[in-house]
Amino acid sequence: MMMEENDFIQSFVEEARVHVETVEKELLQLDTKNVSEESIHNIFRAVHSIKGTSGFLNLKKIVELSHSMESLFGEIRTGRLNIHDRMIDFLLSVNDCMKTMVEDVKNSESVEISGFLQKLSDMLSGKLSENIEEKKSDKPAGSLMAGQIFDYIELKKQMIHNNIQRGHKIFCIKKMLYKDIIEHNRTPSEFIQQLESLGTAIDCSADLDGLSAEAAVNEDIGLAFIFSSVLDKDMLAAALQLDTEDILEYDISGEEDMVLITGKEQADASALEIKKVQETQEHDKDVHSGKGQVVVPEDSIRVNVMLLNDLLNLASEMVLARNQLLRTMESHRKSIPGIEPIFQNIDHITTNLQEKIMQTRMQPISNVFNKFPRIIRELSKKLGKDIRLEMEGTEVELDKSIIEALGDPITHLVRNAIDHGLEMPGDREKQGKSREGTIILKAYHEGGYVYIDVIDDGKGIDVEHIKKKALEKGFVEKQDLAAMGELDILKLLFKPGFSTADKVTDISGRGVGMDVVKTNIEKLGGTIEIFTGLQVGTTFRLLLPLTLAIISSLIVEAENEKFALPQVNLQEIVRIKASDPARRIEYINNAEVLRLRDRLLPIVHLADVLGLNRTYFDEKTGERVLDKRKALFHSKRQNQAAPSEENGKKPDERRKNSNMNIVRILVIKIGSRRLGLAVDAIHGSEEILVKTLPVYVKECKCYSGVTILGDGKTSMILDPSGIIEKANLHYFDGTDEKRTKEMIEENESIREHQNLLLFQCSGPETLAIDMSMVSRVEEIKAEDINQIGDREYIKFRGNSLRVIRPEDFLPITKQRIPKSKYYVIIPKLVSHPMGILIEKIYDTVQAGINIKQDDSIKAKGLIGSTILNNTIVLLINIYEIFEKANPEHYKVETVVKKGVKMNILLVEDTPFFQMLEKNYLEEVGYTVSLAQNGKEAMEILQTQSIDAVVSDINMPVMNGLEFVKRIRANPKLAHLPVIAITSLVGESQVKEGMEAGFDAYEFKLDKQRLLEILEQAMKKRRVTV
Amino acid sequence: MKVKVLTFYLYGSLLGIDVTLVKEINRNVEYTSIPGSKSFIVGFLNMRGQIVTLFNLATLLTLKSGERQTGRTCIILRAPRDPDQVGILIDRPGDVIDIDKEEYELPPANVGVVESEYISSVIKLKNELLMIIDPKKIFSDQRVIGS
Repeated sequence: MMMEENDFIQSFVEEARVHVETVEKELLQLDTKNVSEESIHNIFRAVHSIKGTSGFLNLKKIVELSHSMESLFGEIRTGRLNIHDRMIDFLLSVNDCMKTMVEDVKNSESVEISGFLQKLSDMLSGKLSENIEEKKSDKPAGSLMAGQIFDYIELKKQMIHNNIQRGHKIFCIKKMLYKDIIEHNRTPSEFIQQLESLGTAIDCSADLDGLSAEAAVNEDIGLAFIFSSVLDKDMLAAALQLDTEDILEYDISGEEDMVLITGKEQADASALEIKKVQETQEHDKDVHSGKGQVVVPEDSIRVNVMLLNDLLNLASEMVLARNQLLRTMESHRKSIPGIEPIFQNIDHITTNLQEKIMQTRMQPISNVFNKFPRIIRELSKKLGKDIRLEMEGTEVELDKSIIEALGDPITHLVRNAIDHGLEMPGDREKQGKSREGTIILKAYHEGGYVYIDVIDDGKGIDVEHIKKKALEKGFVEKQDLAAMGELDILKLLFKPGFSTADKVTDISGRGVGMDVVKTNIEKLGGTIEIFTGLQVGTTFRLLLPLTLAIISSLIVEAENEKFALPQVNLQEIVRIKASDPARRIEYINNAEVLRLRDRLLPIVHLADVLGLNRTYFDEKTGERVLDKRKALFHSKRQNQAAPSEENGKKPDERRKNSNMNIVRILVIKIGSRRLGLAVDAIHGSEEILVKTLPVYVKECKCYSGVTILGDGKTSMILDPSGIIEKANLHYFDGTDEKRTKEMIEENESIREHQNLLLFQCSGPETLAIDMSMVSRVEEIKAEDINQIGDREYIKFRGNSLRVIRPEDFLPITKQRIPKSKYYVIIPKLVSHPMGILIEKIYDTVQAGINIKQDDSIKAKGLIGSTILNNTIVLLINIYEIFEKANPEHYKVETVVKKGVKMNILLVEDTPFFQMLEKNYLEEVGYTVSLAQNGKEAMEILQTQSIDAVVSDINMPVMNGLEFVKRIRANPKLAHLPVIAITSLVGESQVKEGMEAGFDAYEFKLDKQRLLEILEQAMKKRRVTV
Repeated sequence: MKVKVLTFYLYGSLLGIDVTLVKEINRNVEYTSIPGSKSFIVGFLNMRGQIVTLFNLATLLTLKSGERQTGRTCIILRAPRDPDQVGILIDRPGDVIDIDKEEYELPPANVGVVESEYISSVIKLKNELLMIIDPKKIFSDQRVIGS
């Protein structure tokens, strides 16, 4: 626990140090006559960042001080306050105080800052006018206000402290007013000027104790000048023409002295001070160090990243040079005695060296993420929100410089998400969300980038609100706004000074956050994206280039060229010996496929995709000869040829020829796309440093980058999605069959198989019900059925449950032969449950079925019929049966008014569900358009006027998530109510669905709910029914 | 005004490049070819940890195309586009010669459009003609960068 705390503090100190330095640098550069806005922004951000982080660590004093400074700069930023030289001096001293506190975080609470705070607030209210000057001149007059004494002491103390840090020594010079100054024809101020030329005059006091009450007018007054200088005592004496005994050097090893110096005249004040000193001392004991109470950082130093870059490159070179050396000396190894161990040693050291240097740069993203559990805990307490944090991909490694630079932006994003994004628990409940809000931090590699998502499931960003604010703040003109799409409007969030929070809190809401985030991410060469859905949540996605990222990859070979394949996409490796009949590549026309666990895997040869000439090992000649298969692959004529005898034989012959050839298939998966990539050899895995592709080869789709391998050679990094793209292109050109086949295959794998429960009622017909509608099946005895009126009831879990016999409502055989035993199917997700009384359960089957509807077996309550194992099976629709059995509860209300045409787009690939849902919708008066998948649906959306969309999730070609994302990304369609209906209703799926942009997520077969939520979604999206 | 020009041979032609644009000449380089890249790209070279894209200038200038270059010597240029380093594979280097700017002559009209864009000038030496290439033009050309 303590360790964690220290880690936080450590990283805070490191971070804050940088910010303090920034402030100092910017302050020093500030030109009061021509204030650079950029500088003010920079200072503001730096101070804001300090405030933010220190807030989490509960460092109250630092928060207070940075808050005041921030407020001041906020005013300066808006131009309401002008900055002047005196102010800069003062702010520098405030910043120094901040530095002290930051360096000595543990004791920062005991640092007295009220003086600074007072003055800062004075400045803020515009009272400050050259105040430092005034006080200096006020002071000898001895008319200090009680409150100012304190400031004054503080200021002096600070000055002394600063000067000590700059290597000054503190002296007290004793002088007699008349004897030493006036008689030398000098005025005290002249003397002070002389002092100033050698150092800094801090204070001057008259020795009042030495004056007796009845002192004569001409009695001399002792003056004590407190003075700091880098000079030694002897030098000083010589320079000022004074005796060394007139100069007193203060021991500056403790703070006590300083307090005594400044507090000399003001008894009250010094009493206060002493108290504080004692406190400080007590603290000192805690940290076991007398003076340097600075938290001792771990043994780490800051090294310029450029230097590390160079080191890394040099180390790689070293490896290369070693390899060359070893190779060249190979033949001489034996002849030179004793050289072998030296080689080994060099070999070893070089490898280690390289590894270590690599390590210095790479850090897991967890270094950034790990501070969030605490931040979130603190914030949830502070704001009274329940927050759950999920982190994924913490092991993703990024270059140190990126990691460091990510800290601030992500903190800002998380803070924003909590403060603006997540609602109060009560509000969440009203929205039908769980009380607990969720923040997800997710890091992953994709397409040559590292993605970092900051996701919340809060209220989302209201685009209208942004528009309003942007107009108020004058960021955009009204006419421009009209032309802006949602994405453009969201980008307004990144403007400096933009804040949508109605109240400025010390967590966020000053409008510094987002522009800082954007600037920082762009500095890293990254971009930031926002996805938002009202009431659904917001995702901030940071895309960072892989430039410096290290990924683990497999080194593969095709036609003597080595390539690196990122291991993320790799699922398994299959080794195929050409002579093995169990595992062989088969051909569908010219397309190669492999049976892999009952699924056909399309095989693509890396050499083909890259345009290399494929060769194979010829047994007879023992040489590699050009493989003609490639020619075949490209030839169109061959496609038309029927799989004749001759053609069928060819692969076998080839196999015989290539007995020596072992093909290695890398099974790659990207999303739902699977691919077998055939390569000649695999050279093991290597951690590689990804370098971006030079512009000259950017157009090569198959590569995502380039790297330098351990042997010093460059190697291309393969991009699996690029390969798929390229390979598909080939299919398109060459073999249409292949493509269609692949599509079908894909469809097969994605299509939802239906689980059916087969049963029998009193008649001989086999009925079936979809298992997803069944909650459970109970066995009951005949005597458990109670007759009440014409209805039958059973006792079920302490309640009475009406049971119905399907044969009463369906056109099937009724045979009232009493049985001793029945089964009751308890349906799922029904608002007015009834049991279905059946006599015999056959089986449950899993099948992709084709339902016939337009035959003679058609009635309300039946979905249709299908044939399973040569038996006709009737699929029942329990909702319709229930409607028939209990018309009062299932009254169909026509939702749509007469004369109004409401178009619903139903996107569903399984015919069974398509039919079912279409019926549901049409029954209540909607007009239904059908689409098989997201792609088709998008096409329909482009051409037809659609009022709402009901979509499945698992579909081929384009699934529901992708589909809804596209809808939300399209300004023309973004307003559409879209609900998801699926047979998978898990919490995580719902979450995923809502994130993607669905308005609601519902279980497929519940008619009532489906209609309800559709209506809700339409209301929400303001579509009038 | 005299300009120093580094000359080199490529498929029998004598070419030249302003010596101030040259970073170094490397012999016996080992490069990795990039399957699927444009015909005028020879491959990548690891120059002390930096990736250098090697070009086949002959293809670019249509001196002779189609044949894979066998030479192992290359001229590495001062990066015309940071951070992408480029080099050109040559047959053999010639000399560094002083040329008076006055001797510069524009490529004659019968030189192809593309080539004449890449060749900034032609110099009539005693025994042969020297083509001065303009790397800045070449390596910022959209055809070379590829979009």
